[in-house]
Amino acid sequence: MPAAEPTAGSLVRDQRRGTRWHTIGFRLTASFATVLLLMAVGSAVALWQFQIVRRQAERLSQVDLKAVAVLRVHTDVLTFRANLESLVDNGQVDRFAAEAASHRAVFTGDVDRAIEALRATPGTDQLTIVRTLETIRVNLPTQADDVTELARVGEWQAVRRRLENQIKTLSQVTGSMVEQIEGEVAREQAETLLGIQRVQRRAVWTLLLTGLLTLLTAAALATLATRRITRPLARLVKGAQALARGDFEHQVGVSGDDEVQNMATVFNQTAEKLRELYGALRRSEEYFRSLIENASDLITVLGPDGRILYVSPSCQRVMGHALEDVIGQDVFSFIEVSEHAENLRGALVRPEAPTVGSRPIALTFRHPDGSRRVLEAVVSSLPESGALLVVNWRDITDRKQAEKREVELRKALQTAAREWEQTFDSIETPILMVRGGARIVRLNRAARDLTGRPFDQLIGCPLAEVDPGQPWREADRLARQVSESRTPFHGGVRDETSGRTWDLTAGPISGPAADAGQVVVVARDVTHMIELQDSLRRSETLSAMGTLVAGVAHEVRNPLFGISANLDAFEERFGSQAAYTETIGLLRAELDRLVLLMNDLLDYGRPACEFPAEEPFPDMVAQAVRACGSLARRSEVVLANEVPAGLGTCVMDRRRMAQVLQNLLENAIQHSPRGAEVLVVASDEAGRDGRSWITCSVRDSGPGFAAVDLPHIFEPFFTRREGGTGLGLSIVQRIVQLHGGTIGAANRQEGGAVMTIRVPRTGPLER
Amino acid sequence: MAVLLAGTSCTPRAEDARRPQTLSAVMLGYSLSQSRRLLNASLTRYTQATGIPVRFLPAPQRKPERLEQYLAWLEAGAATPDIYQSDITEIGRLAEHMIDLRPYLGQEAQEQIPAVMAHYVIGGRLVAMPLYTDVGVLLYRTDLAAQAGYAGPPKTWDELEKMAARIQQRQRTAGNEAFWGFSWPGRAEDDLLCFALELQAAHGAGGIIEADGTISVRNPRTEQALLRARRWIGTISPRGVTAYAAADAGNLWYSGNAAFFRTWPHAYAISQEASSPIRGKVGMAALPSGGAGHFGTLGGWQLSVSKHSPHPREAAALVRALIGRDEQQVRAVQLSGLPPRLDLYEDPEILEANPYFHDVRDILLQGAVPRPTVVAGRAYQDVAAAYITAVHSVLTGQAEPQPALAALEQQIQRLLAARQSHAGR
Repeated sequence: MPAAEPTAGSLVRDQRRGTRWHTIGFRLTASFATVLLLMAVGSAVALWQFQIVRRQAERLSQVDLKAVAVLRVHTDVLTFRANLESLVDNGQVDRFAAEAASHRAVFTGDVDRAIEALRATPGTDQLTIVRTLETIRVNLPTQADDVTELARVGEWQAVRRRLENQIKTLSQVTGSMVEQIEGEVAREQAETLLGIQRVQRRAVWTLLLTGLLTLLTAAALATLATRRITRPLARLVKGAQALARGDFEHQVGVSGDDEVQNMATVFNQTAEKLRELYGALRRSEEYFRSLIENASDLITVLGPDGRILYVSPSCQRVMGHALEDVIGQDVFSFIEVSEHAENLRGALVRPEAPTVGSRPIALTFRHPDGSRRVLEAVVSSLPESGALLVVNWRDITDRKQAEKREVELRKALQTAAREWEQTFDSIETPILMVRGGARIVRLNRAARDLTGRPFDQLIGCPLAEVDPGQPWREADRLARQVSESRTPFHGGVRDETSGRTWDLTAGPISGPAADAGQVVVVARDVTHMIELQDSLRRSETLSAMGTLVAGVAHEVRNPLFGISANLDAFEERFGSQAAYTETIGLLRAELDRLVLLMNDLLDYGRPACEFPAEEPFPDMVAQAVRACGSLARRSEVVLANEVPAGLGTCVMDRRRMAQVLQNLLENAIQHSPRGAEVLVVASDEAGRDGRSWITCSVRDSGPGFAAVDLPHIFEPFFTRREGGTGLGLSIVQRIVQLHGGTIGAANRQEGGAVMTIRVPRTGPLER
Repeated sequence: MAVLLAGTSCTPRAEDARRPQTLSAVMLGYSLSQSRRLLNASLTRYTQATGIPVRFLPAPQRKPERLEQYLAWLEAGAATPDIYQSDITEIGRLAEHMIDLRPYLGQEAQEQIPAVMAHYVIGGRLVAMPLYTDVGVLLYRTDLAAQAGYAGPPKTWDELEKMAARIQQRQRTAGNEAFWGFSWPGRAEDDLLCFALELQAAHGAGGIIEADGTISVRNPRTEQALLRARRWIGTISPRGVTAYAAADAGNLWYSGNAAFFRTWPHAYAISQEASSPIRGKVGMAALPSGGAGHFGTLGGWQLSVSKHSPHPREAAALVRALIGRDEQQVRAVQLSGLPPRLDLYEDPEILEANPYFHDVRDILLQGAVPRPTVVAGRAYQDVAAAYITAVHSVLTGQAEPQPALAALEQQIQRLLAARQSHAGR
């Protein structure tokens, strides 16, 4: 770009602009654009020419149409004349007139069409034809009218002459018109043909020129572009060869500023960079070499066949061999055969094997002093060098021995721990170890079973939160006391919900610091023992009381019998005297009351289970319900037994137990209003202690119990009923208790009372 | 023609725009071969001189349709045709659509017969130039008249009737059953008007409407004239002559089957054509007298240039080329067209071809009856139609002369009154 002296700023700008204009890419793009433009222009011109041809052809076809229309008019005139002439000799006026009229109509239509066709493209000459057509459009009908009239008056001769002369003249007019239009068609055709030929010539020349121009342009551009590219490329190739030889000083000549020249510049920069890198590499290599040679570890380079190609100077210290004894030797001649040695051999064969670059492997060396040295080898493949392996060895003989001892110790410890754990778990008494804040640290299987929760939930859980019930709360309290005082504590507690009694012992653990503050809590289930003690005590009391009551009742009955006999005799004698009647009645009533009381007392004092046997509970209920049937009917109360037939069995004195139920039913019926219902229901039930029970309820719709009476209804001699002994429910309770069961009374929410007995069921509950 | 085609495909240059691509003229005689020859010769000369091609167009043959067609073109402002040929009775209606020719043909106008030219100066404008003039004449068969012992043409209608009857009788006897004594245009159109007008005038009944406005149709002489003509039908003229247009009357004559023929002078030239069977056997004379003298209806044809012509100068030049003295001379020789220049009636060449031109000139100058175009003005076409209808109805026997003519008089009065009130407004 030879320009005026540029300033510093403009130079930069010029170079930029120059760069854009001089790039090979831009020039190639411009070339292709030029070629395409040329081709497009050529095609457009050709298309334009074809368009002209098309238009001319269209015009020609229009002229043809016109010619045809005019020709038809001419033919009409000729036909008119010929047809009418043939009819003249015939002499039939009507037929002649009809023919003339029909021709006239056809003719008029054809003329109109011809005029329309001609008017489509107006021109002076065509207008003259239009005018002619307009005239003969009037003239032929005139002729038709004339000849028709002549025919009507019988002047056939005149008709003939008219057709011969005037109408013939008319056909000459149309004939000349046809000539004119045909001449026009011919001219039009000739001109169109000429035009088409001209267009063809033009199109051929255009395409030829465009093609030639395109070819020349393409060739010129291709040559220019190629020369601009190939020459600098040759210089670049030379430079690259120099680089390959290691001649980093070689520079490629740069001239111009296109892409290839840019490449040359970049090449030169690259060569310089390479030179710098080479120097850096050499320095780095020296550095690492000195590092390796002074390292305490042993470093070797192995060839593919296992030969030692390089060994670091620490060889003497680690292997006990001199450098020269080792170089060139097979590495396996120093190593004992082992799995790891085979791995190393595999790595030599397959450098990509997992051994390489992964975990260190331990190999055993034979030291010249006869000892075995364990060396840890880290194998890595030498980058970029194919099959060469770098092996980094470290003497780990001492470490290996220490590891071995540690493993043995750990094994012994684990055994001891396992034994202790099994022992701990096999103890059936729940044992827990807790630490500050009474959190569970450890507990045995029995303790876990008691909570019903898995170990992982329990460890770390505060004792108080394991279960709100006992014995955990008590255990918590004890554990806190122990951790405060560091002395053992003992306590007992009864869990009312489960009905179990616990004996708790807590003591501090003394020992190393890790366990300091820990407390051991041992819980013993003493429920059964307590129950046995209670049962024994109660049995003794009841038995003693029953014996006493029965004895008293027996002793009282005999005098009562005597009084009764004397009262009978007295009544026999003085019963008819009115003065004694009232007294006798009074005595008799009191006497009956005493007898009843005595019978009840005897009954109360009688042993509960004289004849225990395993009996189906529903059968017993049915017996009691039957016994109450007549009372229910009398009282007009419905007695419903809804005890399922498949309910379990109980060990019981059937007669006594039926008496219990009968007593309850009678009470219910007596307190029920007329028409009410008394319902007996029963079900199996699993208790918290693992035993199974039968629960049976008698429900009525009576007034229920007064709230103040409820705590006292089972006390002997407590009654609200006139004439009652107050022993009925006491006897019932005694019988139930003697069967190991319980009895309760309550008021139903919907009204009425409910009495519920609960007795042990035999056999396991099948659910 | 090349110019025309070029004109449709590219814009003409300035001088081309001024020069007409082609001129066109409506020419009535063009349908006749001899007339066409003559016209073509004139045109060739014109085209050679100016380089302007010319096209001739035919015109509707019957008068009302022709006028209607002309008016349709002119009122539509049609640029084609440039030149119109019209009848002397039509120029009054067309005048307003024609240019004033005085700037182009003032000199030529001076050379024509003033009486003829009087028809073409309307409102002070020269709206047309005469192509040839016309007057009603009688053609007769000299051979047959001589055979029947007559030395010349009949002087009176009575004579004509006798001669015609006699010649006809002779021809029929000779076996020519198609022969008739007198051929004339009896069809209800313009030629019948011309013939009836001549007949009426010859009987001293006047010219339909006189120059002072007097209506002269309802009189015994007119009745007499019409009754005479009615007598001819079926006797000396064909029974269907009332359906004969001028062409049919001519056809009968030219075929040699008529002794007398009422026509215009150009029929003489046609009769004398080489192919004519009556060539050399034809004489031309004034129409016979009915007691009041020899009369012939004044006709004539003229050329006008349309106001809508894009090239009035060239069109006027073409008119000049067609009506020049030489052209008129040739037309008189070849077509026996009456020249509107008096000097040509002494032209030896013309007199050689038309030995009777002196007689015709006399009729033209003394016995020419004009149709009442001037006095009737715009009502003329209606008056003419009414007259033709009345005459035709008398001839066909549909009406008697007296009541028919009385009715005609009233009708003409109404038409004139309507025209005047129309004009007054």
